[in-house]
Amino acid sequence: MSGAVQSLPPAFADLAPHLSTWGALETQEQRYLARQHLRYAELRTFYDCMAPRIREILTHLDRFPVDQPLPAAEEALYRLALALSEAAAAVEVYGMAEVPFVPKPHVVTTTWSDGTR
Amino acid sequence: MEHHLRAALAEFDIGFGPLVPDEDIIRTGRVPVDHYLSVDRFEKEAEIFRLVWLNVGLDSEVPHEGDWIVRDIEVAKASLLIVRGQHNVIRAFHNVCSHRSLKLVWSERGCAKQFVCPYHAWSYGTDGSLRGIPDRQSFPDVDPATSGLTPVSVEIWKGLIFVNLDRNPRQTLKEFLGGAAEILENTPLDKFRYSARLTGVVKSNWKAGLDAASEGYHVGALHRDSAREMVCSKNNPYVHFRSIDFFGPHRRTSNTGNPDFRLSDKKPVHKLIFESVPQVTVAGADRSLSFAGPGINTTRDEEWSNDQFSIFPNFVLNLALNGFWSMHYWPISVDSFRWESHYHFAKAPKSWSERFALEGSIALNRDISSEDTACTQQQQLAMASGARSFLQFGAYELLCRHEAAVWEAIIKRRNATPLAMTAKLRSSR
Repeated sequence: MSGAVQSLPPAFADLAPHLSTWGALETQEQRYLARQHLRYAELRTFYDCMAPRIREILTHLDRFPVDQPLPAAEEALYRLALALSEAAAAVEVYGMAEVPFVPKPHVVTTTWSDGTR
Repeated sequence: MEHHLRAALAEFDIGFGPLVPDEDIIRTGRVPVDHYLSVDRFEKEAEIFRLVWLNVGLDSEVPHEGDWIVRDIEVAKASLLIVRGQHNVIRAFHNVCSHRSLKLVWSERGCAKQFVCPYHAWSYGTDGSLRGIPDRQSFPDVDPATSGLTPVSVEIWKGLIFVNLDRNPRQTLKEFLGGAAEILENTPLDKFRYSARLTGVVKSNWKAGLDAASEGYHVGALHRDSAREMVCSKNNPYVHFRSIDFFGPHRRTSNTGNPDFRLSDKKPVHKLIFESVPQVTVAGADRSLSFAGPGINTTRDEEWSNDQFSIFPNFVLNLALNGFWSMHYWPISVDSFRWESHYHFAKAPKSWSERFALEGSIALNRDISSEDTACTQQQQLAMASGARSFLQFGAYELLCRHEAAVWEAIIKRRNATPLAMTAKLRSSR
C-alpha cells in the first residue's frame, strides 16, 4: 500500500493533506522516527487537526472487525490515528518533537504477539 | 535500615557453591566506576551469562505448532532458534547449520514445518533433526542422526521461556530461581498472552540501564514530564520501597504509586488512551487477573502499585494490579547494551479503539524508557571521564547495591578459581 495514492473515508477527506507525511508509515518504529525529524510546529498543526476528531475517527473504525485487515481508506485513517499518539507525546508531554536529549535517530522496534488464541 | 543490609548479605548460589554479596558495597553503597568501564570485567560477566538461566521470551510468542522466533544473545555471540514443534514441545537450538556453520534462519519470526539453510539448502525439522542434504552421496561421512541442530537447554515456566547456554547446566531453573519462584508460582504471570516487545540499542554499560530500573528515586527528577505524577505521591515523594526481599542473587521490592493521579483534560489524547484499555497499574474489574495475591504487597500498603522482581542477571518483572511489564538488559559491549521491554495484556483488543489505545500506551511508555536511555548514555560518557572513582548508591537504592555486590562476589570467586578449575572440583566430588 505504501507508495500508492491513498484516500480517506469521505467524512475524513479534509485530513488528506497529512497522508503525505504519515500515510505510508506501517510501523510504530517508522512513526517514531518520522516524529523525531519533524519540527514541533508541524506536529502541533497535525495534533490540532486530529485531536478534536479522534473519537469520531475511532467510532468510524469500530464498525470494522479488528481481526481482519481494514479497507484501504480506513487503513490510511488508522495510520493517521496512530500518528496522533506520536504527536500527542510531543504536544501533551514534552512541548518538543523528541524526547529530550535522546540522540537522533532513536530506533525502537515494536513487535506484537497474540498468544490468546 | 540495618535489617535491610543484613538481609542483603544473605548467601546465594548460581551453581559454583555458596557466595556472600560484597559487604563493603552493601554497607557503603560505593561501587567503583570501573565496574562499568572495564573490558576485563565485562568479559567475566559475559562468561557468567553463558552459564546461568536467561529469560529469552514468552511461550505466547510461539503460540502454535511450527511458530518460531530467533533471539540473539550478543554477549554470548549466540543466535538461538526457538520453535514450538509437534505435541506442543518448545525447543531451543543454536541457529547454526550443521554443514558449514552458517546462520540458519536470517529473519526474526515465522511459522514453518522445516528450516532450510540459505547456503546449500540443508533442511531441518522443527525438532532440530537433519531432514535433507541435497546431493546426499557427496557426504558419505555425515550421519544424519547425529547431525541435527545443536540443542540448547530450555525450560518453560509460567509462560516464560528460559534457556541456559551451558551444555550441562549446573542448576535446574527452579533451583536457580529459588524463593522468587515460590512467590511467582502463585501469580497469574502466564495469563497475559497478548504482548508487545520493544527493543533498541543503548550506548551505555548494561548495568547502568538495570540500575535505572532498580530504584524509584529518579522518577521525580528524570521523569518530571512523564511518569512523575503517576508515581510520586504526597506520602512517598522519593518512591521509597515499602519492603525489600532477597532470594539468592534475585531481589524484590514492593512499591507505591500516586493515588491522587488524575489525567488532565489538557491531555485529551493521553486521557483517551488511558481510559480505553486497562493500564497495567490501574485496578481492573477482573480480580482473578490481579497480581495483588499472596506473597505480593506483603505490607498491604494502600498505595501499592507494583512488586518488582529483579531476576539475575538481567531480567526485571514488574507485577501490578492489572498486568505486568518486564525489562531485559542484554550486554553487547562494555559500553553498549540492547534494551528490551515487554508489555503484557490479558486480552487481545476487541475493537480498533482498543487496539489504538494499546499501541498508544506502548508509545507513551517507550518515551518514558527513552528518558532513561538518554540519561544512562550521558552517565557512561561522564563515568569514562575519570572525574569520579565511584558511584554512591543511597539506602533506597539498595537493589543497585545488591546487584553490584552479587557481581563483585562472583567475579572475586572467578578470579580466585577460574572456570576450568571449578569444573574439575565438581567432577572430583
